[in-house]
Amino acid sequence: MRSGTTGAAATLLACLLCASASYAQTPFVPDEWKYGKRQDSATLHYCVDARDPDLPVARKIGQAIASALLLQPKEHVIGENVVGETLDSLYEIFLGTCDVYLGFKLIPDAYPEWMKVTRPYYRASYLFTAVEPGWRSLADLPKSQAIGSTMGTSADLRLIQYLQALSPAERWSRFPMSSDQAALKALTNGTIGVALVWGPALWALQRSDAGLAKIRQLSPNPLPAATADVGAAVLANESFLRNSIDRAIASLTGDGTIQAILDSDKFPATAVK
Amino acid sequence: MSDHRVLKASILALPIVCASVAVAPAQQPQAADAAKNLTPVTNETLRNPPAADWLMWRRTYDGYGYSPLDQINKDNVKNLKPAWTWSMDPGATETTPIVHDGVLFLNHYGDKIQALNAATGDLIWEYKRDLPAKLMAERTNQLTKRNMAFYGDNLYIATSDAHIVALDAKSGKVVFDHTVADWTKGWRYSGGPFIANGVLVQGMTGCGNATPGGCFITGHDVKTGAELWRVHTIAQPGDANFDTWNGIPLESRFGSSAWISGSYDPDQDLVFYGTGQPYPWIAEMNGLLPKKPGAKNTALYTDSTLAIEPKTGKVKWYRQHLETDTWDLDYAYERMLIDLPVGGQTRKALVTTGKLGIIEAIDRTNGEWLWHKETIPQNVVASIDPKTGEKTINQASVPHIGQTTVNCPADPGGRGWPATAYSPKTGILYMPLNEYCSNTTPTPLDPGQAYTGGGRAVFARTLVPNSDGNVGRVEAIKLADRSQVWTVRTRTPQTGAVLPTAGGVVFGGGWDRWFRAYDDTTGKLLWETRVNNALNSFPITYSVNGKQYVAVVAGNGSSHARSLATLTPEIKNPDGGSVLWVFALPN
Repeated sequence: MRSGTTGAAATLLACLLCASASYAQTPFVPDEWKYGKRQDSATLHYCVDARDPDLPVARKIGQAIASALLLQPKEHVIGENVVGETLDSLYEIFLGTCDVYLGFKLIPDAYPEWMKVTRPYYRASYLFTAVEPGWRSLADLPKSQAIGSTMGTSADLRLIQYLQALSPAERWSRFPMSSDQAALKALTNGTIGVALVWGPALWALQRSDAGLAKIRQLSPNPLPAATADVGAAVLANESFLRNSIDRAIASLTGDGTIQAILDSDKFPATAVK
Repeated sequence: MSDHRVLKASILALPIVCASVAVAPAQQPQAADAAKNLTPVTNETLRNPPAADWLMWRRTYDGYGYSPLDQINKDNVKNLKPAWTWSMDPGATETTPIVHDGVLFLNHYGDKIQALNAATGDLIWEYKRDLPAKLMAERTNQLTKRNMAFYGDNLYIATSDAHIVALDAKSGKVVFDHTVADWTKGWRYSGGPFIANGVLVQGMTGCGNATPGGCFITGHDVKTGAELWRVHTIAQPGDANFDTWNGIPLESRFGSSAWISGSYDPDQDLVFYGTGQPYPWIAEMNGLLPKKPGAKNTALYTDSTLAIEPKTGKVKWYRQHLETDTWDLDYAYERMLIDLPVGGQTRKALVTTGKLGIIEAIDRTNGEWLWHKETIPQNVVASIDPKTGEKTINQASVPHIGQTTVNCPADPGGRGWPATAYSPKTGILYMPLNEYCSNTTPTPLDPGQAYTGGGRAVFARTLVPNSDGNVGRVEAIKLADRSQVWTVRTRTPQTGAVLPTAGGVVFGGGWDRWFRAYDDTTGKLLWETRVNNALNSFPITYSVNGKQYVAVVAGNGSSHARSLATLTPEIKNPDGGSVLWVFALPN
């Protein structure tokens, strides 16, 4: 197997035919039996994330979904003062706290089998941003300057693939940034010329930090626009709940409630029809 | 708080109990407090520990994980029986008990430390760290700790909230509690400390995208915990190797975790520590690929051996074992200090094996390459220059965005953190190994803000091509000539460390709950017993009043073991039940 290209190619072919699921297990939770079934069936326990830039609108959307389902809304804020968890640790959050957890991007094959994402309630964009007043699009960025991209987003991966298709001489440097906030900070301190960030993150950060006011959105040209749909996550075995929430979102989209929520905060997203 | 509640409950119950019970049956008295007899551990003690004790992670500074005890031997190991057992808190139990002067110290999941009478299992004292609720709620593998240290009169631990704590070994009282890093930023400890030349040395993990600049190893004052020095495991500005990261700035560099404890050469006064890979693992995501023209992208000091002076933190030399690691194939594990014949000379070697399962020997005085030996099937390294150790990578194994590629072994490693061990009696390196591959698909793991993992990949782990169904291997390699002496292949993944002894037996265990003893020269199975759960820890042996015991923790919850378990779905273990098992020969 180690001996070179032929061996490696045979390995590739054989193993693509014999893959096994890596997400089949539920995560290990010590004393999982202690989590019983919630008895307050008239209440929708919806979770919103303190670290998510869409927190103000997510709260309203959660309440609206509960109302559409004729359930009493009970909000839980997750993630205050903690940088993050793995997906596995979300399992215990579902067991103990959330019927539904808002703020998950619809990415194919990104989730373990024990969780599902609802239909989306809004669509937002990844944005190329700059402070240079004369630039209109990404194409205006000199090749000597770098793009700082929040690491690992679908837009970031698309950018990586685009850059790799260029010759080395035509490429911009890409610096992986740990977060949208780090990317925008690097933009304002001149480490990078353009930052690729999640649109709602720019919205939230500009609301709270006057120092980011000069950051402008660029046209993504020569790349196409990158968007992501956002929905909510539920445990996979809660199929009735998920279907109900899907219907509620469809209804709230159809009657304009979702869009009105987004518009009321000038949130940079559109309801997904 | 919980102790206070227990005490109150027992007082309230007392009158009722007294009224209803006329005569209570006589019980065995609890053994006397063995901790009262604890003697101080000095530098000299650590250089030459008593055979009866297990004072550090791999028992001795040279990292062998070998015991000179021979009361339990090839002839009588078949008579081994449980001497006592002790329940532990549920959760990953990747731990190494420490034994000194007849007292066994145990580190539970979630940072509960207990001192037990090593002969009887009776509780002497308990320390329960009051971890933040949010940290406990994460329930991650990081709440387990793989080792502790004993020095002077203290037991030293690293905590889940990134502190170094010293406990008085006789009482469990806190001597000092030193904050090293902010756990809310993601910093964690999963390995534990060791003491070298009077300095406590500890490696940090959790250096993900919330903590740019990478991990570090620190040296601490053993009296106060104060930090004496810090070695960054990612080259910092001003470092001669800063420009090995493909031109990306420090704020875009992550990883190089130092998550496993090290070894120490007293003759050179050098600590040897291993490091892990860049984060995220996929090099196209972390910016190391594609390589910029004219740039270096080896990413120092990831996947390296660092030789550090314990008094000053000066890095005397380093050796990188794998450049631009894009598979999570750490070289973080035990470094064994063994004098070996090489080319007609005796060389002072350092032997280590990374997740690739390639045994690598380097000169421990200068990092010079000596030799290598492959073990498990792997397709990442196409060839190794026998003179320099330079590795040529099989480019087909490199993950790419938009593709699924195959790499063997998969990310948990052909060998993982369950340690190998070396017997100076046989000259053999004993290794718990596993054979498997991964279909790796880089994926934008940006599901929301619930976590900021920043994108990694889907790893669909699978058996090796043309597999006979066996996943695990216990391997014996004679290091003098690198010959395979024996191998035992098993269906079950090998999820526990191995323990060779002077009695001629090698203990080890796996996911299938069998704890086994093999003949150290033939691999013949001499004894086995079925315990309550997976063996996913470091077995030790010790003696009290002339009687030898073998101790091992069994339990579920470790991400390493559970990852391997997906390959053998028919082997099922209970979710709960972490237990310390202690075996001995009948009287």
